[in-house]
Amino acid sequence: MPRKALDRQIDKIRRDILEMSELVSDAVLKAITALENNDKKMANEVIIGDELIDNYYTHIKKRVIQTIALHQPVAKDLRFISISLDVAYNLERIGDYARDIAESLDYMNKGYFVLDEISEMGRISSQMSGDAADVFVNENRENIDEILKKEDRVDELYKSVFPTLKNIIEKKYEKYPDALNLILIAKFLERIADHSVNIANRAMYEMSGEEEYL
Amino acid sequence: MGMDDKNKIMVRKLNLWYTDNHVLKDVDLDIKENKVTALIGPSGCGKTTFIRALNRMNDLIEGVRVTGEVFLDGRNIYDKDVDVVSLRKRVGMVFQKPNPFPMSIFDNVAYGPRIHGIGDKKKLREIVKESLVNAALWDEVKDRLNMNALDLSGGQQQRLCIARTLAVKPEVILFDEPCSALDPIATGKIEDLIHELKKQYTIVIVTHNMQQAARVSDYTGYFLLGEMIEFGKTKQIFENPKKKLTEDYITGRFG
Repeated sequence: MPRKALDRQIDKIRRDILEMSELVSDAVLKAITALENNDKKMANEVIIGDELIDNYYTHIKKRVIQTIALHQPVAKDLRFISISLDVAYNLERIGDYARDIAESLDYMNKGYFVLDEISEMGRISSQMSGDAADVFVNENRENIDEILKKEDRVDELYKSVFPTLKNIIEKKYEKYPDALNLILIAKFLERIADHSVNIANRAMYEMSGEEEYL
Repeated sequence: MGMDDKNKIMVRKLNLWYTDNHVLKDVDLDIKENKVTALIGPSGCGKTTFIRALNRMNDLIEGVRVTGEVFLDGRNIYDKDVDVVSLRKRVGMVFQKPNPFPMSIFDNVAYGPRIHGIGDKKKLREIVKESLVNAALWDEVKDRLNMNALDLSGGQQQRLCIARTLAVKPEVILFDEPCSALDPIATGKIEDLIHELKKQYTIVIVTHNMQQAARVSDYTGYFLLGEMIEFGKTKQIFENPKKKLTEDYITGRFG
């Protein structure tokens, strides 16, 4: 039965997205933990692990194209399959940001500092990426409000980071390279939260067939 | 293109029985002018009966009873004083199996115009050429118009039947699974042709091939057990059907 064959492909795509999202969420958490503890080994795991995330993305793209070519999905099937590309793309971007954060350890001075706000942003944005993928994979609408709340919190923290770092640069000039790095890291984390909201948005479209922006 | 496209045919509360068998149930549908409307649904859902009701082909079947109204340009075709022959001239039909008459290509196309009283040879030649050109068959047969139509390939025969329909200058063309007996190349030609024809004609096509409905039509209606389940723009039906029954059918979950 062609329908069964299509269901199998959809299940495989769903599983790939789920696995990819676990890797990505884990990479963000590891990157921020490595930063907090100046753990180069863990940072390196994130950097090496990004390749696997990229491979998932390539693999999902291939499967999506193949499924469209062989099964001509329509309606919700088509939405799921095409939106899975969007979701995988956003996850891949998050993976890149996790890698960027892990790489920034190389540019930090000895005895560098990390703001609590940035730690919190890291934890929240890691959860958000997992939650957003869950909205898509399991059609879990209940997560959406939580994701939006978390995004607000990340934005709030992001904004609060600037005056703090400005203050540090002004008062302790020798810390300015670390502060600059932290500004970049805060930006990466803000982007991660934003990509997670993108995923939730696309998942909403997949479920309803209507574009409604969060 | 919007739902406010002009209605060529308006069907209201159409019911049809074959003796005791209630085949069409309260069907309401607007067929838009110069658009392609595709009707899909499983075998026996009433879609062919429905298009046959649009030019009263079902009148020929014994035991048929029809209630409701079918307005063609605002006039109910089931009114007592409607001339069925001129109705069928305005609303032509192309069938599932190509059915050329056992006569020459030329005579096949000239058949309708002759019946409708055109005897002038020059005029007939013009009509035959124009119809064959518009049916995208002229280039393939122009040097052998006297050849027996039955010697054409299946795809050519079907385009000949379309030319024959065009020759009487209809306003609406009903296609009843026009490609089900054709290979993909011949099917592609008919689909391209339908796309061209809608500039001049209003087209209704019944098809079992969902991808074909998606490719050729502007509007799609889904029939099930004699009822019109959902009607909408083809894009909407295939991207985001409103009814679960429609979704189940087009995604192959039906049954």
